[in-house]
Amino acid sequence: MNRFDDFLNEDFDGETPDTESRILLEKLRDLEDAPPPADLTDRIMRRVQAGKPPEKSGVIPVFRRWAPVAAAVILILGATPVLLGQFGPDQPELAERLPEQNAAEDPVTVAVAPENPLPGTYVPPEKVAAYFEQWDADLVNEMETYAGQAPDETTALMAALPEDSLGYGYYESPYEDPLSALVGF
Amino acid sequence: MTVTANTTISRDAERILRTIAGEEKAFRELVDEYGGLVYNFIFKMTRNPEMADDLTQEIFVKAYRKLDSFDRTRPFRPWLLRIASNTTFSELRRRNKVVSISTLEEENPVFEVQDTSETADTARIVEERLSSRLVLDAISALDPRYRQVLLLRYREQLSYEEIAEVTGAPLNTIRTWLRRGREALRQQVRGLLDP
Repeated sequence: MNRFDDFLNEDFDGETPDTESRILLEKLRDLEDAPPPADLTDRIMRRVQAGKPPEKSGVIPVFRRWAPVAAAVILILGATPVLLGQFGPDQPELAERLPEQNAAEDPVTVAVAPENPLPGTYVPPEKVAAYFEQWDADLVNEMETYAGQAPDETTALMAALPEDSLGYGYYESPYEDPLSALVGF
Repeated sequence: MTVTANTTISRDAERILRTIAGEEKAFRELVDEYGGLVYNFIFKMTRNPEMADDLTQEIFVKAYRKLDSFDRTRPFRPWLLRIASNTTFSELRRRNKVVSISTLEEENPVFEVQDTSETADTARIVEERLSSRLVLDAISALDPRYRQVLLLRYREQLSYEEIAEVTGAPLNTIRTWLRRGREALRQQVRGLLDP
């Protein structure tokens, strides 16, 4: 008795299977195998060696092989202008401006950090405070210089500044704040 | 266990040891020997040559990565087929090709009402007209779990214990699936021969 007959004997609890069942199961046993693709072993071994995703025959493997390289090139080409600052938020334009122009918009930043005159640059509070202390001292000196004389417009303006407008990292004067000026201060 | 089976186990164990030691040629020998088995198992389960191609690669890569956890005193074939079975069922589930057995039985009460009656005519018709293609068509129409146990049992000639190892199901479940699978296959073939 061969293995297949042993199986039938076991599966049918020792009974003889009916003819139809036996024919059917023999047909199942004799199903022919389809030949796997000739290069399947090679592709498996390449994947094993490299841990790559499945390869297909024809054009697709070429595409898959070079897809990461193409993606990297596209990424680099796309990122280069940004890295070079060409597409930055108006940075070259601002950098080319004269310090006075920037000062008009953001006097604190430019005065405290003239080496980096871009609006929005973070300036530590202590540095701002030191700047205003110096500014205050200059103002006092200027007022002493002009003591007994009629104050000019600038001196009068500085003297009118409230004390708490100094030393907080931003300039609160309604006269120099473009937004405040717009709303009518 | 027969002498042939023991020889196969020791030969595969030696190939696996060589593979783990870094000899890729040894793994190629395993692929050469079992690649066709895995490919055809998936092909008969899915009838989809592209899926069989893709999954065969995936299965051998998984097997390669897990080789050091393989018990080399046991046969390699059921272990590899278990990876093949899990991978194939995962893919079939992903493609919504697997329904629960309970749903299947509710929709097809034929599995509970077995009609094993036959006449000399039905046996003769089956023998004369049942081509390999028709058998494949019939088995493809079955639930994948029935399909799997029938193929493992009658095509690959695995024991109940080996089928249990491949499928992860208990022995009694295997017996039940085989009995119901045989009956479902018979009904399917009858339907195809006499539409």
